[in-house]
Amino acid sequence: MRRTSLVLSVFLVALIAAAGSAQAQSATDSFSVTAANQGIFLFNIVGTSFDFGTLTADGTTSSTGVAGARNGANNGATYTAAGVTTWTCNSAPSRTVRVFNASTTATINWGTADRLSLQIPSAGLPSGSTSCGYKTFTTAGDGGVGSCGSGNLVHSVATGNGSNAATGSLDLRLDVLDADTTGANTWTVVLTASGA
Amino acid sequence: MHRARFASKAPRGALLAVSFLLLAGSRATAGVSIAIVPPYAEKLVAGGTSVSDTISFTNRGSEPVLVSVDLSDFRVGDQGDVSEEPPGSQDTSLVPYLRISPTSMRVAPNQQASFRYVVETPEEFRQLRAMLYFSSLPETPAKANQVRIVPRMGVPLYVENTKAGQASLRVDHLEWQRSAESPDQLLLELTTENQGARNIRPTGFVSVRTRDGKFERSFPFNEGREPVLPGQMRQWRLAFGPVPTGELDVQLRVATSLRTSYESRTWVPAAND
Repeated sequence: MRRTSLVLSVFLVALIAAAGSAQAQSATDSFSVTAANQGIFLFNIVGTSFDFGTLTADGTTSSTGVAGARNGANNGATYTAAGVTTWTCNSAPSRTVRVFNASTTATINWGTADRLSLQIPSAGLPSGSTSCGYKTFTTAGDGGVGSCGSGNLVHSVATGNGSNAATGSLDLRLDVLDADTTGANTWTVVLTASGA
Repeated sequence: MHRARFASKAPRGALLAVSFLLLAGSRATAGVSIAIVPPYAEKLVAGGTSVSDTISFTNRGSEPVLVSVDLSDFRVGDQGDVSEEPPGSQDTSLVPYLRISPTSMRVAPNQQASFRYVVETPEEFRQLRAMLYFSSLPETPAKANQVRIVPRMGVPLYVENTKAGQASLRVDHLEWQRSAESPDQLLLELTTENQGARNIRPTGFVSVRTRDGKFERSFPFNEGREPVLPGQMRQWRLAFGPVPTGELDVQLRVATSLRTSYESRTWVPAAND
């Protein structure tokens, strides 16, 4: 009898503890990932699109409020939007995050794909990662080569083992030439996370 | 060399752990939030047979996504870095024997989808592998001069022959030192080579103890279960800490096969020595 009561008490305590834990978990939009979680693969992107809006080679502020700057006589204008999105990758085993401009000619109605430049700033990247600065390119993929020279925006951003998460942000820059007749356009930026 | 048994249960454990996490945090978050289970797959089958399974894709975000699947070969470097190769270009390519269905699907917020793969193995092979990439294009209304951000997540799939020799890890080099920047961190340089014909994901632990025994702590080795592929040389550079700055007795134990492990014991001098 006494043993039954003891078992029942332990069970109730465990049940209450589990209920409290579940309540704490559901109170937040995110969950904590530590190295203790073996085998996990999550990718979060806060902003999935960014609209430059209507813009001109004069460098006047775009219809969506992106500031532009005239590059000088007959040199067009540059529109810059920093921190347009934040991404987080959680993984174990580790994965390497790479980013490339996957825009194709099929989506380019004015200018060319390489009018879009991208940058992942160093701030926020894990130790050992390399930010390659702003890059303007038309590559359809870097093939996973880990160097800035291959056209990467960033390389060696590894997440796994000691710290399961890697976080970064994305800056965009768009060039408008005087010769462009700007219309509606779409660019696609791909963030690849792969590991073994 | 000490003989010990290390069981590899990563995918099954991963399913349980991530399923729990997904249930616990099932509320939609802003933008795109994707969870894929398992993070890798390893299948052991005979030649000339068939094997199939599913990969679970969960959209935890606030926007519907159009998921498309593409395949590639891949190589793994000495540091564990992965490089993408054209599908079917490598001798170890699984792509010619792999079918996946569906190859595209719309997945709504809080929806879970399953992608089924089937592999018809050739008669003769040792290990075949491919990367399954899941690209998630958010369904965003088109606007003028829009940049869309697409996550592309790679899940490696390995198929190994039951006749292929089991993994066997050889330790070629081991070195301990303190970090010059942070003396409370121990740095391990370890070079290993897999002499077998199957993957090994060597786990183990590092035990650190002061001479007087007042400090004693264990750290996991390769808790993320990174693999060493057949024939691959793998260089590990790992940091463990924090640890005291005095003289330390450091022991490393790493699984080298299903039944064996490697053990070493090193005295690391005090930080000011």
